[in-house]
Amino acid sequence: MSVVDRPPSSSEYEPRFAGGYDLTRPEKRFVGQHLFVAIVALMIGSLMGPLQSFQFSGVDLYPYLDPIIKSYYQGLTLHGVLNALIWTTFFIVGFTAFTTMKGLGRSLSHPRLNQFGFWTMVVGLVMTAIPILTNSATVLYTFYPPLKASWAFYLGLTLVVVGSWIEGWGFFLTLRAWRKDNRGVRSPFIALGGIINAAMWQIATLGVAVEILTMLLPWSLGLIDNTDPELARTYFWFTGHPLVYFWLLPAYVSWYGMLPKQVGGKLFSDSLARLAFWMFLIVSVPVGFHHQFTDPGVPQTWKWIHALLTYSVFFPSMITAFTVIASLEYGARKNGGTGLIGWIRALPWLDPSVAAQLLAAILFMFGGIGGLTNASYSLNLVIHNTAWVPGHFHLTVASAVTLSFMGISYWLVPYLSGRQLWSPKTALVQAWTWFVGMIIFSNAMHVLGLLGAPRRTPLGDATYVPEEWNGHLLRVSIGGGILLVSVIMYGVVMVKTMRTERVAAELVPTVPIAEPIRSAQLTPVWLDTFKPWLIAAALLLLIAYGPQLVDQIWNMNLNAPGPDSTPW
Amino acid sequence: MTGSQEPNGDQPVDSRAIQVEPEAEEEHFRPNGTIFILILFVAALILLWLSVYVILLSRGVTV
Amino acid sequence: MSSGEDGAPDQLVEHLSMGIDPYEKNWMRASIILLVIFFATVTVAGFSMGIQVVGADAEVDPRIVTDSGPWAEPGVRMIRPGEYEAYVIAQTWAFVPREIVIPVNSEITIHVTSPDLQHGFKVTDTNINMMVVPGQVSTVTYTFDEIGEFPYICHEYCGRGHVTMAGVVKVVSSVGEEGTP
Repeated sequence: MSVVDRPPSSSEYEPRFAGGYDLTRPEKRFVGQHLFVAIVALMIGSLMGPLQSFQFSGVDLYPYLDPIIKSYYQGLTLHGVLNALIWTTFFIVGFTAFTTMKGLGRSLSHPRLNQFGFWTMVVGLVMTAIPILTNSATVLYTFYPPLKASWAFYLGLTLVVVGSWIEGWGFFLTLRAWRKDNRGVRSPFIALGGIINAAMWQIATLGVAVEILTMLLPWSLGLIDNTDPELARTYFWFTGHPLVYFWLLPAYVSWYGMLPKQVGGKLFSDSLARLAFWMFLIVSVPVGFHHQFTDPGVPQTWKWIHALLTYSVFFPSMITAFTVIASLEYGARKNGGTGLIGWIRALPWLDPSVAAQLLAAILFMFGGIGGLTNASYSLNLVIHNTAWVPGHFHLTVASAVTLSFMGISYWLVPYLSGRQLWSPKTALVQAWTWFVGMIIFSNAMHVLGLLGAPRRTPLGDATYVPEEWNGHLLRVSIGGGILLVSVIMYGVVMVKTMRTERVAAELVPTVPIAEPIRSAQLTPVWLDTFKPWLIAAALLLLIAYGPQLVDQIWNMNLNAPGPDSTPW
Repeated sequence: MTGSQEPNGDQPVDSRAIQVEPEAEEEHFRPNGTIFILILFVAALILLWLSVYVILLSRGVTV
Repeated sequence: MSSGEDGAPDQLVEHLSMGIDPYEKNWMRASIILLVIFFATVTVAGFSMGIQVVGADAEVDPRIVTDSGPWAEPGVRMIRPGEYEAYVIAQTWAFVPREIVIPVNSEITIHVTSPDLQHGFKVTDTNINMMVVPGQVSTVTYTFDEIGEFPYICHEYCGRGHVTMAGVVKVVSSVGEEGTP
């Protein structure tokens, strides 16, 4: 084959995105700041979760927290906001900044823009945290009106989202600059994947932005007296479901683009990895009504259409299942693995980063099954707002995502800080305890849900609890206890790692970037181009959300003031 | 599935111009174990999903 | 910008090809078939077997809804033998009424609304599961064909008393025998 035209040959450009670029010290610090906030949020939020699980079997520890935490629900609000919104968002934005720089092999094109975005998020976090801690925003992380939180809570969350937008613009501009310098070269997958996620997030968060700016913020400031709760729900779930993919896609970046390298293999299909991400860009957003199957005020036809679209968003996850497992099998067989499933033993299970992510992926298979059930229109009647739902999303956001992020941090934190991981054995035990604790916890929650136990309820105090729930409630507590031990171990590993001495550069972990089996250059151009996919996303959104959203806005009834006194 | 089969014109340089290493022994890798795991996954999916469906059918009509 | 202008046809094919492994191609086909079957199954349950989710029924003004009309006197009414309707108010932190008593095998249409916060209405062991949203009326029609007690539980967070918010449907052999299980 002969080399035609200007572009460099593969040997010239490969090293630039295959691990060659080392982030500068300030860049490492910048990414590290995101992770620091994320991990602190995770630690605080995760201390609340087990208290809820203990309450289920009648062990109420909240009175002991009285000066700080006044109630089960204040704890639950902290747990939801810190774990589901803050830990995830800060980790994701930090990780995307990392994959953008490392993947493209260059600095951010507008570092001050990204710094501004980061500090906007931090200011937002502080503004959100103060009302939660002073018990004036005990509205849970869904903040359904007419539960009225302090205005600072809404403004703070808005700033977190706006900050993440600004950082996203920084990533786009960086990609654009890279493309100018690398015409004809496929953009490196880890960078592209993160940036597609950032693009999806910009579209998805329009719902909650409109909800807060046109309804909740003016209402909490006393500028308007009433809300339209059903419209607020539609706005919220416009953002609420793609939020799930916003959490998940960075884990997918690692599973597709890094984990194969960590197990000594390659990415099985670059084309399908990209196709999956583009599909997520298109179908992540117009699915929100599947959270509103049991809502009055939304016609059945739209619910059914969103059920169909939710089924289609399951498809890229099915592709992911194949591609990721095949990438792992490829690596395992290269390392001498044999047999139909015997190769699994040839994976580096003793590497805590690998083990955490493999275990996360196993739990996610069950999370996926539960998710498909939730999305299945009438089937939602069996489980909507029961304990099944938190059981489900603890397999997704709290396992597939959180355990993967923990696994990533086991090499990323040492890389960024120029250290080695403290006690990989402890980290390994941490991953396994998370896995075991989550199996016990979430299985019990799923069963409770099928039996009819409501979610968001301190079941230890409920008078309607029948005898047959008790064993499962106890299992929830046991799972929660194991998870508490696990999250403390995670905190210890992180703190101890940061307190070890820096080591020589060659001893610091390298960044695992998986090459595809078939060169990315052979991937068709249409799988590396934003425009057609963004147009498709906008069109589908217009079709799937437009009519019902316009109808609800047109017929908006601001008539719900909420209760006279604070209900919590 | 999605998208057109047309190459998009946004990228000014044709990627074929770039030399690419031919695929080597990887071509012979057939992910049999993957298929096996996924068959187990689909079996679990069908079983668990159907069990909820059966619960749904047993709990009556809600017109 | 057609890619064909300077390349031989086989190069074009290579250029367009995504290089999908044949096993993976089959997996993708199987996934689509599986999803289509599942979706058809739920569509049948929802639209032809009548296991349907709540739709857009009626709107009310939550500030005055309890002042007049059926919501001023919530409770169960017999429309004709075997056919009942119930108006239920979900408010912080109780359902009014707390008890719905109907004879077995009778059809009941339940309307629920809230004058204050969002609540939930799920009747245990049935497919009745609805959000209760201020400004909206949630309506469901169901036939209880088994004698027994079916608790209805609020399943949306509505403040500190949420855990106490529950009621019960008592299905009896005939009305008059209230309380007999």
